[in-house]
Amino acid sequence: MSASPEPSLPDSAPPGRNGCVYAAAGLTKEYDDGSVKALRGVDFRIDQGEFVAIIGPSGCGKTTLLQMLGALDHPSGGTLNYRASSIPDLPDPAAYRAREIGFIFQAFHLLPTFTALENVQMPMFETEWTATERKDRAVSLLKSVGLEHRLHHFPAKMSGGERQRVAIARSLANGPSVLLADEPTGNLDSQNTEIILELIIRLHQEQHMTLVLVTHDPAIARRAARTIQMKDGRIVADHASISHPALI
Amino acid sequence: MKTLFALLFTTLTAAADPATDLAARLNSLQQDGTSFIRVKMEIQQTTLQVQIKQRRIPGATEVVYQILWPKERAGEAVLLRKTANQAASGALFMPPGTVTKLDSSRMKEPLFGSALCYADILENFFAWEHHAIVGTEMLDRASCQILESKPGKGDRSIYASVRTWVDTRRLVPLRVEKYFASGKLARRIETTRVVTNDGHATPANLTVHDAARNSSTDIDGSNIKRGVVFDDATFTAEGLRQTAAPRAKAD
Amino acid sequence: MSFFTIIIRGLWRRPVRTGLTLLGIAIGIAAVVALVGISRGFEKSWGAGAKQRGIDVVVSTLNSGLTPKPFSTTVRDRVAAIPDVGATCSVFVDLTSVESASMIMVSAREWGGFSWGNLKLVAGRMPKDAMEPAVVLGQSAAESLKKKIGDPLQLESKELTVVGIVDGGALVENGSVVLSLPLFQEITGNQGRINILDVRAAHEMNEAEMRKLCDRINSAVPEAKAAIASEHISNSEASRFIRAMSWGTSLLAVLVGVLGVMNTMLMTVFERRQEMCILLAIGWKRGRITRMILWESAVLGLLGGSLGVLIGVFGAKILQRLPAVNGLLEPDLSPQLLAISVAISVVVGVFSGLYPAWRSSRLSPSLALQG
Repeated sequence: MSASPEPSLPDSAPPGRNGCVYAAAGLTKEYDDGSVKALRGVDFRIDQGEFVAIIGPSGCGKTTLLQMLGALDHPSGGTLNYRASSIPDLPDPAAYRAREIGFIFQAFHLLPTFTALENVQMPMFETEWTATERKDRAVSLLKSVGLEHRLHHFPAKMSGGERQRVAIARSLANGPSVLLADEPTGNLDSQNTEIILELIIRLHQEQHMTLVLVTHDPAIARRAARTIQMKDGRIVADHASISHPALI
Repeated sequence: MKTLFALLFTTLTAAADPATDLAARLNSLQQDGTSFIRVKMEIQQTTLQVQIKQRRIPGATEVVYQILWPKERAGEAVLLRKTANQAASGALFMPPGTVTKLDSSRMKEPLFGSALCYADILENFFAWEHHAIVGTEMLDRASCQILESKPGKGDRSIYASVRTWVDTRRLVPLRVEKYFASGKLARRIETTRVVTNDGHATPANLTVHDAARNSSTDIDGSNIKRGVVFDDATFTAEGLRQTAAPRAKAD
Repeated sequence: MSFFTIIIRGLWRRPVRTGLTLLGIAIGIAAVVALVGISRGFEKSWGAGAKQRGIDVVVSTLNSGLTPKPFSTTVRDRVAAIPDVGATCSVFVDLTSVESASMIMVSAREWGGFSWGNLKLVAGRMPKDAMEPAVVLGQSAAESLKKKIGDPLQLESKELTVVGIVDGGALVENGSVVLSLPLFQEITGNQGRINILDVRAAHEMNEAEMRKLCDRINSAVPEAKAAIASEHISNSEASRFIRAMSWGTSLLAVLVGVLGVMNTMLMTVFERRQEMCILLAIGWKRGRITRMILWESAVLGLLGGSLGVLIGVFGAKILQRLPAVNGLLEPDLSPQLLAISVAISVVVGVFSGLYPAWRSSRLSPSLALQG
């Protein structure tokens, strides 16, 4: 798919069930002609089915990193691969975002003029499904997040927790292999935070999806199997979380 | 050579007094020979169809106004004539056979009850002695010179002065205001539609406002024929009974 | 939910703005329909009037003004002598003020000429002879002059009697006062003069043959110009002017519509910037966003155009009933004109959406993550 050479990785495991999903080497990102350095040379590798929390204070570069992973922006230097392909050189980044990635945002980002059911169908326009297939799938996704009674409600008529569940259903629309979540509970109260986290983690486990979650809250980061800690555009720590449920 | 001389002469006189020159040009347009015109006059709420026969040549003006419609007034007619430096005279015809003489003292009387008086039809103020350009103004997007004319010793008029707004490009008057000796406005005549007829710009409608009586008359022209041949009786009291159209000049 | 639902929902999110924009285009398109329809109707009813009377070629001097300039009746004899000319009919047409009506068509026709043939009597009778002081009135002329059979009608200095009401089959005919040519010439002092000569070909002719006949007439009578009857009015300067005016005015109105749609769609793009970035982030291709904007403006154009056609047809009908216009104009609101108007509107919509769509295609999906 890509013409760029295979980057040198810390550990080049073969692709497969537990193969490498993301691999970054010397990744940098500068804004405003280099006056702002958001990423100052980042190396990591994320494998299939991992749950990685990226943690750090605001402005540390964690959101920028998420943008790179989602092919929403181009890196300034270094390499970033998704499976064997270089993300900046993807011929069709929209297709990558539509098929491989599910995005969950802090502010939910539902379209206000569409119902829950319609919001979930949005990403499906880039598939070949018929209108009926789209609708059926959206209904079953909303059922899976416990919103079968809210299908025809507009976002404004739903609570924050419900809206984020709709957003999660939408992120799963095209059956992605990676979930990228940006502070998914940042706008929620503690009760809803718990519901949403449980839901995300359940999805990750049941469907064996790779989950990358950006947060500034160490308590949330501790739910992940692995935590990458960032500061000033660099990775300062990358270790397995002690309190990861799998270890208990 | 002759043309060159004429051109030089015109230029010289024009340079000498543009006001007199403008009045002279308008005067010569006014004296366009014979014509036969039909107009629709709206006086307050009533409509009249009126035909006009006129002969305007240097030194003499003769006109006949005849009502054609409505039936109740059909046949009513006015003859007005004036030769150079002589008092105006005329005759009024009321069917079936009453003819009343009009002398110069009756020139203030209205024509068919309209806002126009006999003098307005007869007097050619462009032929008066004194002319001055007193200003310029835009009227209906046409740039106009305001020509003020005053009668000289030999010119008799019921008015003391007349101001004419002349569209200098098309050489057509767009507004005329006539003043009494007291300085009060007597009448204002305006046109909103100018048509080009045989190469001349002619007002196709007139609105006459009589300031003293505060009444207005709208006149809409529907036909004009120039160069028609009138018989000798046309401009006599006897001719007032005759309403038939004159024959058009052979082409 | 289909892609189309998204388009409609996009327009519906600001109903008032969408409504006003629609009204803006609608007024522009209404102007196209009403003005162009009226000017085409004028030409068509003239053409229909000519056909109705079995006229193939019209000889006149119609180049400026509303009525042609008079010429000598000898033109008739010279034209009649040309081979392939089957019949001729001298006519004097005048657009003039009659009694209290400001403008009415007076059509004086050669006594016994073929142009009388297609007048169908609705009531009364035809004049008995060439000099009977009588007229027949077209139906709408009778209406606007408020005349019935037996009423007097003042024409210039002569009082005539209305003896019949006729149906001329075409609007121009129905708005006319019709009388015999010699009578009219006598009343108006136009002896020996006419201003139109209707010509009927000796046999069925195609357009090329007809043009040849016109050329032959033109070389025989240099003082007038021959034209194929159905094209006669379209060739006049007044009619070209009317056509240019009606298209010019309408296109100006349409231009206002274009700016309206462009403004609305730009506002939409600015307002929905973040939504569009989100759609990009969840996998929409830029092309789909661009298509969405273009479709929205095309739908605006389609709805505005349809509304405009309705307003235009309605407006033209009202114009037609105005006392000043009554009987003179019948708008030609052919399905073709209506379809063209809607098509113009859709094209205008798409065109107006191009710039906003280009703006939308330059959005970056990364903005979705920045709150």
